[in-house]
Amino acid sequence: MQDEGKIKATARRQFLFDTAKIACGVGMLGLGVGLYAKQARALPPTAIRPPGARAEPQFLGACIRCGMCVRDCPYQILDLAKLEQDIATGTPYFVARSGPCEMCEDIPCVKACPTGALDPKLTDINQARMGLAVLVDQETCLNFLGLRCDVCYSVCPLIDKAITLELQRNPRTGKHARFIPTVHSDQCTGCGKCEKACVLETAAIRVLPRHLAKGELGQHYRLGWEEQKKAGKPLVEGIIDLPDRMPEGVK
Amino acid sequence: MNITGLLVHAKSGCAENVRMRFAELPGVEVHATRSDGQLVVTVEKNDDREMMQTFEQLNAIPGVHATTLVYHHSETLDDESPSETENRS
Amino acid sequence: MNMTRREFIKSSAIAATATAAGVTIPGLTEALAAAAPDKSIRWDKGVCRFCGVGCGVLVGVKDGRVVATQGDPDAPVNRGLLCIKGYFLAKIQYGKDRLTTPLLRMKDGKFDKQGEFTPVSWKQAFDIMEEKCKAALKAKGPTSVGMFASGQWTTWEGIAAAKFMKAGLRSNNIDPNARHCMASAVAGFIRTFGIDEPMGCYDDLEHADAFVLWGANMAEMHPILWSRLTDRRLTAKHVKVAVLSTFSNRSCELADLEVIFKPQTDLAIMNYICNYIIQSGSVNEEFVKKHVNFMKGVTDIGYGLRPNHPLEQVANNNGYPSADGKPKGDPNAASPITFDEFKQFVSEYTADKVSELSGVPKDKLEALAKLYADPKVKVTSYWSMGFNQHTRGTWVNNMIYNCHLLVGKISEPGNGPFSLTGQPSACGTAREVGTFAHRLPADLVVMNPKHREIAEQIWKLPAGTIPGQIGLHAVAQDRALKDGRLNFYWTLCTNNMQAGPNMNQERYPGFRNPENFIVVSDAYPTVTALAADLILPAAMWTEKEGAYGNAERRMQFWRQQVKAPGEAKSDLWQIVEFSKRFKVEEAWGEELVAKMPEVRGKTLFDVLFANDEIKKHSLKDLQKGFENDESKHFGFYLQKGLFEEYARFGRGKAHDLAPFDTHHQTRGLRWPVVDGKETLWRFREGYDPYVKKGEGIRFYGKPDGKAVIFALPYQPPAESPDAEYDLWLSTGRVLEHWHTGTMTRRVPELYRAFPDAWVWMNPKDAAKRGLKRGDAVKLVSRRGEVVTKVETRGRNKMPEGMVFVPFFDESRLVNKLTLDATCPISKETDFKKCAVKIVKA
Repeated sequence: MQDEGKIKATARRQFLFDTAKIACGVGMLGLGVGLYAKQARALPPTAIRPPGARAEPQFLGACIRCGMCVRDCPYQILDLAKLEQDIATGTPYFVARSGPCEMCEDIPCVKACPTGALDPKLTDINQARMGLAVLVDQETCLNFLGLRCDVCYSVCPLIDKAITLELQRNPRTGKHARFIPTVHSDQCTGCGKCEKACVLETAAIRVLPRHLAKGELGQHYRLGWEEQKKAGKPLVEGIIDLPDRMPEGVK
Repeated sequence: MNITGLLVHAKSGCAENVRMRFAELPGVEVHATRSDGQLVVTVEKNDDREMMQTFEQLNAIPGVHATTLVYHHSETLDDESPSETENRS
Repeated sequence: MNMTRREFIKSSAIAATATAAGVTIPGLTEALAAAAPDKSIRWDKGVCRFCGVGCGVLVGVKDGRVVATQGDPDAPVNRGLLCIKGYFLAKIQYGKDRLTTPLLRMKDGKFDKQGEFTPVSWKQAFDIMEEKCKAALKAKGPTSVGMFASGQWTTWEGIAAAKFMKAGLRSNNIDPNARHCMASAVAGFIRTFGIDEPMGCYDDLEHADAFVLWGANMAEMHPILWSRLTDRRLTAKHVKVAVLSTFSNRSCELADLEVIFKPQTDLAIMNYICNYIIQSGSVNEEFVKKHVNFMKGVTDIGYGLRPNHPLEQVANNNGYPSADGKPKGDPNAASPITFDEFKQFVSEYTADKVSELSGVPKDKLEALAKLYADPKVKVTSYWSMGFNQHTRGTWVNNMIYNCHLLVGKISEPGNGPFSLTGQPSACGTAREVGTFAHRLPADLVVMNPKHREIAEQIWKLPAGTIPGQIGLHAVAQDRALKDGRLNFYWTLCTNNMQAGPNMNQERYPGFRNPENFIVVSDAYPTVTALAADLILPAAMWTEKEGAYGNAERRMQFWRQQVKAPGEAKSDLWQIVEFSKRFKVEEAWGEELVAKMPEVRGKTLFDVLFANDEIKKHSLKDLQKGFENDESKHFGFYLQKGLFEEYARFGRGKAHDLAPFDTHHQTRGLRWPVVDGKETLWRFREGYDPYVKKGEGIRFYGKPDGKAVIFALPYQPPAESPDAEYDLWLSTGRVLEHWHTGTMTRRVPELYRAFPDAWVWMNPKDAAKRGLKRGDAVKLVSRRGEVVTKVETRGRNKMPEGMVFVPFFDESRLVNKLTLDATCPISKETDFKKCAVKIVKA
């Protein structure tokens, strides 16, 4: 049964026109039908590595393209990159929108890896960092519009940790709240369930490689309130304030 | 329903002949021809498989240099039975 | 310029290709612009098809098809917002497997109970229905025919059905799926106030200082109301939210006070609150003295199980026939007591005792009680299926009123108990129209001879037409089908095979009983339809003119926007057309016809639906430019006629509906509508036109104008976990799917968002059984088993010892497991408590 599912999944991806609408534009001029077929089948750049994958250069160095992780994925979401794809041939990946990581508690893909390209020290799947979910389009996200979709939040395996709903007033109606999906990078594993489940025609939330998704604060600046919290007291002590003069009775 | 827009490059001097051969194929229409031999073509078919077969037929016509897919749209209309492919997914 | 979709796409293809080639094709851009999708869409107002919130929508139609929908930005309930189900409304009518022709089980060209479904004409369908219905009537009389009705029917479908069954076939065996949903709320309202439906409205959301949710996961089940409640909590910092539930759910995220209690102990918690109010001197004595009576209900009332069940044999007030044939008491009975007796009664519900029973820490119990007791805090209580689907469902409804009445927090902005509704027209159709086995329109009941007389006068029927015997309620229908006492059964606009309790032992055997003929009307091939003998294809939602009444007494209308596919017809058409098959003499008998000789030779259609009162509303009144297939078929404005005739029941009787045409012009009106004004809060002077000047407050549903506080005890549920079946099972819904998923599971995006019903369980319970998330397991109860997978994460956090399975998934029919125990008063099933075990599959 496993094999059957696998064959079906591969056939699906290879079937040229499952990607329904291709507006290639002028850039495609000059390519023959055989070539464009290949182009149309190219993977989106959002291919995600399995849990525990080391940083891309180290991963590519360690991965021997054996396919054991693909074989042991019980949900058959992993695939090996093929010759013509713009991913190193034979390396494992998955695409969130078509099949996200199910975050197995026992992480069989990591256990299967013979070389440590998938880090065997990863034993708690919640610590996996495959990518980072980003709400890329606030203009179409239904919750931003005030509707009650909540789907990305509801499907999140780390609901209320990796994605929370931040409550805001909906100023347009004046009597409803908006439930803003907010991803927390310290918790998000990048499993891709949110992207898969997004009900829009094109997902408004996507899993991106962490280096593309995450900003970084300059080393020269610290967040005052965070530092104070860490220290548990003001960083500069002994500063005083004098009372303000006010009319009697006014506080 | 499955509709594609193709840009076809014909060998110089062959454009008119290609145009006529295209006109014989069901579901294929030529909407414009450029003096340098480029043709604006649409193909209308029921499913992806037929569409692929038609592409092969087009490519096999003498004088056709290359065909380029510019636009593809498939969906199930009311008057059709649902095909294997879902609505624009 | 008119362009078909095909032409439009083709033009787009040409345009894109031409651009790529740098070629200009004359006229193409203009043609595309003219065909830009939005310009030719006709927008008209409608109501969301799903829950009881009643969000206003705008429906966009192009070329005879609903192509788009939007939340109505001016609708007072939702101001343009919708939940995720509402977002996909445009797709629900266009599932690929819509039923478009009647289907009859046939073998060798004839009906055969074991045959295959075969397309037949409407004439053939009605022929066999007529034959089977008349055979049942002839053999066993009107008690052998029955109908299962729906809180998702339009108001006039409910009117037509109730009239056809009660006045036409003279059988009270009609009961709606609202029996599984709102019956306990109804019984609670009638017992405490003498009149159905909430006194307050959604405007309470902007006025309350505290919200208490009792068995209502509003965050998922009433999503737009929840966003209003959340906004109140955000913008008024003093507002507190308390959530009571048997497991931690989405609503708990907003809770200042999360109270997770052991199943069934809500009874004890409410008595504790009353005890606290009294002990802390917080009773509003003036209010209680002027507006409240105290009663003590009988207790030994059983669990609505079959009479041979051990629990029923020891129950002396379950109302079942005893050995001598007389009923054993009356579960609804109560006798007057004094305030002091009530005080004494609740005094045993101390914090210690209730904390131990419920598992809720004492400080939480006290914090909860304080919300009710503090005179400065305006409290709105919300509940839905956690209360109503309860073997003591009527009691818990009575008891929440106790908490409000003791402190006088009721019938004013922000203060009040509010029963949330599950279905879009549980109020506007199932309840108000009287599609229950004991009801008639506007809170009249069949047991009361005066009420029957009123109905017979308005409907212009001979005296004695409507039977006085209460008909079979939902669960009783299942049992009567299985026992072969109910032989012709028609179920419409509901999927009870999947939604009703204990399908394995009761309903399915009943449907397949060779003595019975089962008809199911639906838009899609549901589990119920596939278990039937005859399937009738139904028009749905905007394929017919409709009216829904939401939870806040708001009656909302819409027009028919598009044609139904194929041969599909509305349930209204089906019932009214079928009534032509009965001569009055056949249906009523000679004795009754003799009282009204002028009807001799006429059909039920002539007498019930084409009477002068209804027929006087002509086709001229139809809105130009809109379809109305039923009226055009029958030759008069059927919906208007039925509505106006029905509205006579309630006008001047505190159920005043506005004129039909006014309803079409508005975004819904909250009844009673008197002197052109809606009523937002009932029973209070100034707000409610039925409370006279100087009265202040009057609970006019009761003859003396006083509401009732009931002394009722804690009692255990019908089935609790034991050594073998060691887990509680609760069933329910999820945000993404509506009830049995007939509509939402056909929307690919919603299917993808929540494809399968897994069993939520506590990770420790899973570990104890050697299970981990995603493992296939078998849930087993004394009644059946279901295979699904384990979910230990996500939106619901189960306490140890309890599991939850949603019921939307037709491939995992969780109602094979549930017990058909009901509240003995309301007859509503408890879907929240039965015992199961879980083993690896």
